[in-house]
Amino acid sequence: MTSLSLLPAVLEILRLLLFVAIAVAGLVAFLWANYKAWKSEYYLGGAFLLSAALGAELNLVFGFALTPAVLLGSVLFICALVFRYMIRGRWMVPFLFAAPATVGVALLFLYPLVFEIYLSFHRLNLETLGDWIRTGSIEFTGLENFIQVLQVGSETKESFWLVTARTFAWTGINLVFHVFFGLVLALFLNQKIRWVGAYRTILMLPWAIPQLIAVLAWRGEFHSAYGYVNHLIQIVNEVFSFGVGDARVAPLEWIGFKPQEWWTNPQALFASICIVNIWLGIPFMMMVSLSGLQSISKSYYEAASLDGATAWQRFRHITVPLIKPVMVPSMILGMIWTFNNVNVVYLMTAQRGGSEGADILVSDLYKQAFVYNRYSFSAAYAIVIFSILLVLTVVWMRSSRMTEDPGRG
Amino acid sequence: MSSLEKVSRRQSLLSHVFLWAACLVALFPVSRIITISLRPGNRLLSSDMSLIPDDASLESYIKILTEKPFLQWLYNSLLITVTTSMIGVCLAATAAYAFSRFKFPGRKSGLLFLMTTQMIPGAMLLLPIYLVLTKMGLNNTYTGLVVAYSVTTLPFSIWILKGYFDTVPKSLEEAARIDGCTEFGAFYRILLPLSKPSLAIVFLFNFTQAWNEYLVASTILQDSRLRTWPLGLYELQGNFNSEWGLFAAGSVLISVPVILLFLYSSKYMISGLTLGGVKG
Amino acid sequence: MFNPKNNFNFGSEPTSSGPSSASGGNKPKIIFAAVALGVAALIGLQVFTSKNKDQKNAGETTGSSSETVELTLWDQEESENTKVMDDWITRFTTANPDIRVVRQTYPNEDLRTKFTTAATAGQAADLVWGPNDIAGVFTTAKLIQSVETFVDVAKFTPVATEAVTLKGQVMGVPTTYGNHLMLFFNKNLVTDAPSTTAELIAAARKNTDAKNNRFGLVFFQNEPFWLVPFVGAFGGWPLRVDADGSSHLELNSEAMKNALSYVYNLKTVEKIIPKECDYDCAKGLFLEGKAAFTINGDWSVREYQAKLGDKLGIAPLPILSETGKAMTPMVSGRYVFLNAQLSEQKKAAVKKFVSYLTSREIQIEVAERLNRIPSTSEAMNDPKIVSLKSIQPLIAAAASGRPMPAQTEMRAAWDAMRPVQQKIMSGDLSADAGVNIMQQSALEKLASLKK
Repeated sequence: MTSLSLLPAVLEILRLLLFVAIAVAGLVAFLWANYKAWKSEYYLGGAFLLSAALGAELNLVFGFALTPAVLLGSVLFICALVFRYMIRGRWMVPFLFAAPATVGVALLFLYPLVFEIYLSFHRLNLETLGDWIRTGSIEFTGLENFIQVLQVGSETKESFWLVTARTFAWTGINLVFHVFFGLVLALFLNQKIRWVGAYRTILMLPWAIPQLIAVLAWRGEFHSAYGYVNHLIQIVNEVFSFGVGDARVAPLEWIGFKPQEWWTNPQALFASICIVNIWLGIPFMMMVSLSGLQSISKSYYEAASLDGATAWQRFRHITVPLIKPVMVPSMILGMIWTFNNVNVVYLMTAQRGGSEGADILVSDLYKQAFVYNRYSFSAAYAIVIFSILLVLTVVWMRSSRMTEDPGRG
Repeated sequence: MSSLEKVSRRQSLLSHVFLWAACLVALFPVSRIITISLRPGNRLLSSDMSLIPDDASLESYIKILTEKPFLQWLYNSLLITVTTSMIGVCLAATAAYAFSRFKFPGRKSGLLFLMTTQMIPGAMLLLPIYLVLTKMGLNNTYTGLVVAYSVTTLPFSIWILKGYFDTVPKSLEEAARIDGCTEFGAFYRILLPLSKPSLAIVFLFNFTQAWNEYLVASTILQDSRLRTWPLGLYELQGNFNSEWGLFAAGSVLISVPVILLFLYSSKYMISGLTLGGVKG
Repeated sequence: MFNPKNNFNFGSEPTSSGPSSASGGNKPKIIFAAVALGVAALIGLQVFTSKNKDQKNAGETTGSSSETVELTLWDQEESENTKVMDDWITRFTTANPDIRVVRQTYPNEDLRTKFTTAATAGQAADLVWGPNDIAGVFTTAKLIQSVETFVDVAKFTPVATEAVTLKGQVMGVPTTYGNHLMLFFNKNLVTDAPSTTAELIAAARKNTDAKNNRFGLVFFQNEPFWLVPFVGAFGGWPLRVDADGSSHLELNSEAMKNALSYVYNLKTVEKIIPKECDYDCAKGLFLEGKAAFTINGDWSVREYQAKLGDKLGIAPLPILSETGKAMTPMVSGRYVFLNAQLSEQKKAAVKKFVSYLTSREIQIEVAERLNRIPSTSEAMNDPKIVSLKSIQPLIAAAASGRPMPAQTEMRAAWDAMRPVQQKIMSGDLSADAGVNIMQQSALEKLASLKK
């Protein structure tokens, strides 16, 4: 039963490569031909004939309905108009280079975006799903889904705002720890000491291990009775405890450092998810910081040492400003990824007996869409989440001056 | 590593202690996976806290290799992942070249759009991507998965490569152009060889993304012969009778190639991870 | 705005080299080339897609000589069971060479998610082999159809069909019965099965030594499915179905309150269960011999038997001493659900296939090879089953059970109960307040499914 099927896969991959090659070549050839022909007096006429032929072919041979066939056919003609009146033969090389990626991104990012926006203004849920599949039409509901999303919660349902607040906390905590530990480790690794290569390799492990595996392993360790985490906490508490008469007193317990029921207590669960995600994310920031540190020329430090600068001063006035250009984009990306990290939260909470008290926006979104089949609601939800993140990023990018108008330069 | 300072003895000792502690934390869950994989039976949780259980055996490893289509999963994943990475790198490199070297209308908004794609919650893309690929007849095929993966990783890849290309002086390509090289020739013969570190990073990034992906794969693939390892391992968790021993053994076997790949590419990692601004 | 003057690089209009200037004179030629290329691309596209189609439709209904019908069947069974199912399918297709059955397994919840997602693109399976609670969701979404025209529903035991009856329609073909909780005990630690909870607690207390990780009783204590038997014993049930077929959630009942306090007391007063224990933990402790009793479902019998051999005892859940009523596990089973959009040709094949699955031959194998209770009255009365020792304890344990409701309400109920039960079990919430939150939350979830 475990016999391998190897050949069909290879054949399919070969066909796929051929397909991609033909598609890319076709696209580039198409653009190139347009660039060569746009000045010709026959250009628009030829394009019209071709687009009519395409529409007819789609309709007659492929059995497309008339409207999409006409639409797709006219795309070709619109292209021709754009070439004739707007592009006018300019920017040939960059357009040819960027075209394949652009088409791919448009197909798998732009179309879904449009589709989700469409869904968010309609009603697609468990009840209407069957009818939508059969008829293709769903009821228009206007802003109802968005109002639902932003509704204040009740005693039984977490409000959107609470989840948002938790998501901000989640993002903030993770980012601070990622950057702090990443930078500290990078500073240690950026020294002339022995075994640096080995340390770096081991410290990269959390990044290298498949996430699914790492998260599930961690989850086991947070079990209140059989996980190592509580076990360790107990050991630490015993070490730092002292006897008063017969009783033993562990001062660390006073500040809440004691074994927790990590899986059931929402706060503890949230803390455990944060710990796991911090563990997972440090290596990326470490490597980014390290690459930033190694690009700093040694001469700056030498000059500073001659001037009698302390280590802190050197860090503050040389290292920080010089690695900032490398760190800020990575931090923004890190923020986006953490904000959108559904995997870790989902795997830590939604598995059997998971708790709701630790959800962040995206894991809640996933559950709404695929567990409760609230497609339209979750489309609206996704758009709201996306907007929050967009605003956040734009504000940060503005304040760190990552985008500057190239025209002004 | 020439730009490093000499380190005092005390500082060195401190560094070693700190790095040792950090390594222990990094290794800790790994060691636990190994422990579970060595336990006979399917116990995830056990009150036994020792690193190597008393009744350690390779039973789980033998079982997963002989009783489960584990090698098939691995083969599928490898094929999909390598193809994805190749296509992803090619498409990203050409686009990044355009963004880095040329000015054209839509350049800045294009770069910003690529940035915004990272902000779209993944769950939001799942259903529409599935519908698009099904319309293209790519449902339940390797092709569908490769197309989905190589495109969804494009934005990040383009950013990384563009950032790196920006640091490579234009004068080299201009000289080549004067010598009669075409634009593509300048890109292919001059720029790409100079950008190996970042190409390696992008390859690695594509590789890990595709290698670890679960949600899209579970949506697109149906045929059990096509399943990738995350689907297979997830399946081992079963309904209620999770086969944790097999899961852990599979995890160990799967982590090995990725870790090796990371080790190999870590020398590129430091010089290749450059993210430029939109300005460029 | 973009300023064309900034176009300083190579590759823009003025510098574009060789070919463009050379081709200046013969534009018609280029048009011709472009048209030819476009046509070639279209033909290529056509060849490519038709190739794909050929490959996909290989063996499917092509209307050619063989006229093979392909049925797809999705399930969520464990690998040991799927081997048995594959054997049945092979035997079926050998007897019916014009039908092909392609079976796929999806883990856990994936089956449901996968089916609904695939349905949006018309790619869902023809048949789904799964638990009864799928019925409610799929029926609400109009993705499955009534099975009454496919099979004579009178041949099944009434309890088996009741678990998939929605608004008077039987929505799934019962293939196995059970999926219910029962009491397992380790004969190394305790000799007899207790018949009441008082006996159970007494025996469990003797076997509890929390310091050394030994417990009298272990079970998935935060999961509503494990709570329901207690609710039943206190005289309640999560869902009330009226004579007119309408269903009403009843989570804020006195019985629910009592059941929650009862389980909480097992942990805090009787101290016979661990502080925190999920499914894997309960299983692990029991298999390691560190727990005397465990409550688990019929699906775990084989694994427990393999590990403990004849030291494994199986008994029905005990009678609750406080009320004198038996604990009532939810009973359902596995059902085959039929895609709402089956072609006529497939309908005929499905009819054959489901009548094969519910034949005497297969139903007896359900007991012998899957270790599950058969779903047809014929098989239940068969001497082979009556004398089958391995299945009798399961039948005895199911006797006090009640069919698990398949209504969508139940889905809302599970999701509403779980977090509240967790909070009550961790002591963050009182049972009195908790049940009202459960009820309100379930009603909200139910309403939100429709928004």
